[in-house]
Amino acid sequence: MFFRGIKYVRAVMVIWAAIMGTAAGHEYQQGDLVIAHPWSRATAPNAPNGVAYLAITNHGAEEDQLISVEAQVSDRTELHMHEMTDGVMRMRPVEGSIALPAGETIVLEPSGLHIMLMGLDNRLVEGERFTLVLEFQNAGTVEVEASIESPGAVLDLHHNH
Amino acid sequence: MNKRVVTIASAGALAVVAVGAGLYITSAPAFEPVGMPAPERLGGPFTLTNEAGEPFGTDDLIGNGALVFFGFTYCPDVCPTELARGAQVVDQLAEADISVTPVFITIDPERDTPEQIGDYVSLFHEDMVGLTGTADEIASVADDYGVFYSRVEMEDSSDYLMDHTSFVYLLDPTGSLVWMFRPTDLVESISETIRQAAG
Repeated sequence: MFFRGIKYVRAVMVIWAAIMGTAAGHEYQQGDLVIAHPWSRATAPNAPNGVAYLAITNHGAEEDQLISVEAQVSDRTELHMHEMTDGVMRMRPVEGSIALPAGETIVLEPSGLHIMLMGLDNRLVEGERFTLVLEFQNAGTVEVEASIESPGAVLDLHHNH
Repeated sequence: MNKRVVTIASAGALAVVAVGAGLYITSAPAFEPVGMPAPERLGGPFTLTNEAGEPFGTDDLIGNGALVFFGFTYCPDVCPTELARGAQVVDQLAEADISVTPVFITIDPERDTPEQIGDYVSLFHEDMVGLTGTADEIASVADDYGVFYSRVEMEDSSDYLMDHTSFVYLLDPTGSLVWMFRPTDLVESISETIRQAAG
């Protein structure tokens, strides 16, 4: 089931890329989940950390959970959340997993929820891509490609659907 | 002949659109500045260390305005967003012949060497100055500018994060702090506020 799912996603990707003629706006489907436009930011040569963002829509009737993320380009990853309190920006690891309520889209984006890539093997170069492996409670594991944008890029994934 | 009629009709339609756009622009509400005047107790001269390991401070900024950011290069999320926005502001002002130098001051001098900062700021703008210093020097500048920061140790990790305020500070061409922007202020609004202040 998992492998059939991946094949299906690849087929959709090829068609989608052909229609769009661009690397932008790629998305993946796995079970009831649609993962839209995974992206990252270019980093300085010796930057230890990077970041990745994406949007996940749960079209199912039940809540799912994003349990973990693995990145091809870093030693480890953490899910982080930014909070602004009294003008102070605080970044903290997310406790446990990220809930994906039925019928909702959760957007990981700058200054909010994000995937921290800790211990980068190499600098992230604009225009390149790398693989992220997302593990969900119900939908299982899905492999996606993150596109590397400019260092301070801010993409709006709220209106992709 | 028919083709020519079409061309004239198109030109007429364009003129109508142009007049419409003009009316729309002139009827737009008056611009409201964003951010806030800096409290008088904040600001002051500083001398720190630039990417080349040389002293650099407010004396070197005299004659230009400056937009000053505090952050740390280990930060991949908020700081790049802020610096990229700052670079856009600087470019928009340059188009209006207003020269503003973007300045990044680390609040993490332990990890941010001049070289590391140099690599980092050059990602965002060729004119961006990156500054570090001793822990005491940074603490003193942060105190002068009302910047709160604290080190956050992470469980199961030798890494740490920094909590910090993320206001953006505008220095006038004499090096005096005059205005503060919030991280939520829009690029266009910041540029326009500075344009009007400079005008």
